[in-house]
Amino acid sequence: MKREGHFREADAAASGKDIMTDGAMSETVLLGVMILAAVLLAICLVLLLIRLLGRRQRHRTARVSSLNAGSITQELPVTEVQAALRPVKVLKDIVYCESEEIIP
Amino acid sequence: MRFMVSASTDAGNVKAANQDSVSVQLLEHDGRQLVFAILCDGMGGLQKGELASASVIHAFRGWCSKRLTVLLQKGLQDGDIRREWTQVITERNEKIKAYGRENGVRLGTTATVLLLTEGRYYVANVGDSRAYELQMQVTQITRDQSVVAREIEMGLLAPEQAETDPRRSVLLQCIGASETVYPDFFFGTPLNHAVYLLCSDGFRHKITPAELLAYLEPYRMNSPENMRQNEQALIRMVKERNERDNITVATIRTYE
Repeated sequence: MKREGHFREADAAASGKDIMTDGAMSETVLLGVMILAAVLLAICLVLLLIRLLGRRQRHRTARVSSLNAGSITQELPVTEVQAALRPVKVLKDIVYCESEEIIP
Repeated sequence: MRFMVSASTDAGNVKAANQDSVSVQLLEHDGRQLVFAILCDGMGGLQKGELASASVIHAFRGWCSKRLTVLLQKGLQDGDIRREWTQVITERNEKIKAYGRENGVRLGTTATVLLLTEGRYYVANVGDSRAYELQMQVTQITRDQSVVAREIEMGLLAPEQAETDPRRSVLLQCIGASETVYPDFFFGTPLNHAVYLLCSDGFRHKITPAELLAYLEPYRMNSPENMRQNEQALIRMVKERNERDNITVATIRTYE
């Protein structure tokens, strides 16, 4: 049985043609190429997936705030820390209290 | 907007102790100025009024040093100020009451608290000390929590009658002598080239709004020295008119 563009070796021998001379591949070679392509595609997909997951993880870490923080950052009062870094400066202070005693 | 501040106090003609306490702080945060002022009038008829007034001043100064930066960092909100100042006042009320019970004395104080920023003023009031805004006219920011003020509101008393009413110093509530204290809050936009004034009742009983404006109008308050001189002139005038209470005033001048 012939298929257009493909020759069995016996047919090729009978017709005196080289099996590769008309640009066609044997089914075995074609299958091999397909398997190789599938494997490469799978590897690429796995690498892409790993990269995407890594980026998402980094993104999550960068978005820590007092509102959505996990257990570690909940212990850090973000606003208080920021406030401590930019304190209010006292330019002038007037105070008068006759009592030196204070009710604690 | 920038600010100049001043304050003056005097025991007055009669009392040996000055039961009023006052604090005015000119502050700066992120290159912007703001003012935090508190004026307390220890109760005249109660013992140790100066201890009560000093304790409230101390508590609010503590709030300022611990909490103001945090709120400024978050962005000041009326609700935050209302909640946190109410908490300070409620806590002081309980502490002063407990002190009074333990020591067998009665003490209490009024409190008028002002936080003045470029874009907003925040005022809390308990009792009959007052906050005013002076520019072209005298505007009273606070409402007295006193018996006569309530009767004026209800139409039972004319303002002129209230000035000589024997109950004019009777308060509806004060910090340290009330079961529960409900401070009044007032918020607004500050005026440029204006004067904000806090005073005890001893300062204002004997002077009219016109006299207040004549001495403290913004263009007469061009430097802290001028401000203090004008405050002292009014205190002398009040004493000459036989005011018997302690006399305290704090002024804040806004300018650009």
